[in-house]
Amino acid sequence: MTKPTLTYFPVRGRVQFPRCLLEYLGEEYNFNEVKTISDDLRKQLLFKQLPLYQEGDFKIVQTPAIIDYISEKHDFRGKTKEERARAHQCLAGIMEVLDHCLGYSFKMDKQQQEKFRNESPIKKFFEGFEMVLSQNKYLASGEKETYVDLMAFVMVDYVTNLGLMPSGDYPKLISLKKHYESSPQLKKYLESRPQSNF
Amino acid sequence: MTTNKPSFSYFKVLVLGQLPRFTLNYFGTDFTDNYVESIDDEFRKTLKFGQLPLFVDSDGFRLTQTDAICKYIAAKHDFLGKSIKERAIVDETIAAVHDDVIIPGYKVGKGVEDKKVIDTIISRHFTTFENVLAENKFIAGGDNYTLADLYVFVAYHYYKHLGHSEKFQNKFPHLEALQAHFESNKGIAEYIKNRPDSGRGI
Repeated sequence: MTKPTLTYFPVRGRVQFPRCLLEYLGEEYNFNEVKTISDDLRKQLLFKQLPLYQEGDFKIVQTPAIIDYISEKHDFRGKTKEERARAHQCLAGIMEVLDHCLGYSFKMDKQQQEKFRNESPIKKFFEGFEMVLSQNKYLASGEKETYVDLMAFVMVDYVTNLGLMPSGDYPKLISLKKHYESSPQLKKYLESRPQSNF
Repeated sequence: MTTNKPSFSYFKVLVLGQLPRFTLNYFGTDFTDNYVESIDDEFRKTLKFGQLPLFVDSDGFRLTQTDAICKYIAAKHDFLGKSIKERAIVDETIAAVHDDVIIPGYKVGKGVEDKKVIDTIISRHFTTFENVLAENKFIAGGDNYTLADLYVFVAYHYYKHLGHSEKFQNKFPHLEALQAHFESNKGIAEYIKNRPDSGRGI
């Protein structure tokens, strides 16, 4: 089978979510780093946006779609339709957090960061995830981890890296972060990924 | 196990509530549709991320987040595509419609986003959907309608509702046909006829 290719800019941004997933699942892939979207590349993009996931002739854009496709290939989405729905619900929350952070992070000075952390638009999501994890071992509430546990790790890791962690205590999310940080599958990627601030 | 009617809760404005409402009505689901005025503290505590919409199934299963609700309902009706690739295109379409079409359209309607955005969305998204439908009969490229088609219809319908009809004139025959198809569905026709007017045009 063709090795998939992910195309994105030399930053963490949106692509870190599918990248972490591929790394964790041990699926080999090529990473095509682009500085800008050339006219030639733009023609291949359905909505003129990256990331792009390509597997032979098959192409998809939109981060959640890429995540779901990879997860389904690896049976990593949950066993029941309820579990899959809960995973999707949490992924939607994670993507909202990402949108908030991408919208603000690189425009903020230290003072604005502090303000963001205290009046955080992402706080309600962190509280929601924390509550789920205090009642269930996994975010999709099944008996096994799914892609969304890993995606929650990427979210916490990213928000921490940006200095935008909302005020409050999130012991379950912190322990989730530690769990995945120590994962041998992710070690190489976590050490070599772009050191960008967004 | 006690079973009740499923229920759906959202405000009167269309925005994100219309996607699950269209989906539920398309399948002729018998459900309680709660039009909420505001979220009080008590109610907010019951919402996973403090936000609407909320769907509660007949067995008590609770779900928030628009696309998660629509996908859950669609999964029950085998409406997500037959193959893994088709399902991926459904997801791709759902994400694009929600984030890049519905939300910006709402923001323009609310007056918090520049009107020029609409032209970009029409040339980037609606033109793409038109081209896809010209090439394949269905958005996800399979041999039947899926949630992707329904989402594209809702986006097209919504932009007309927002007052952008003249920008579509004679440009999108396949989207017009898609709209005609879904609006001929009994459940959808009833919903469009009976939904309350938010009085805010959004």
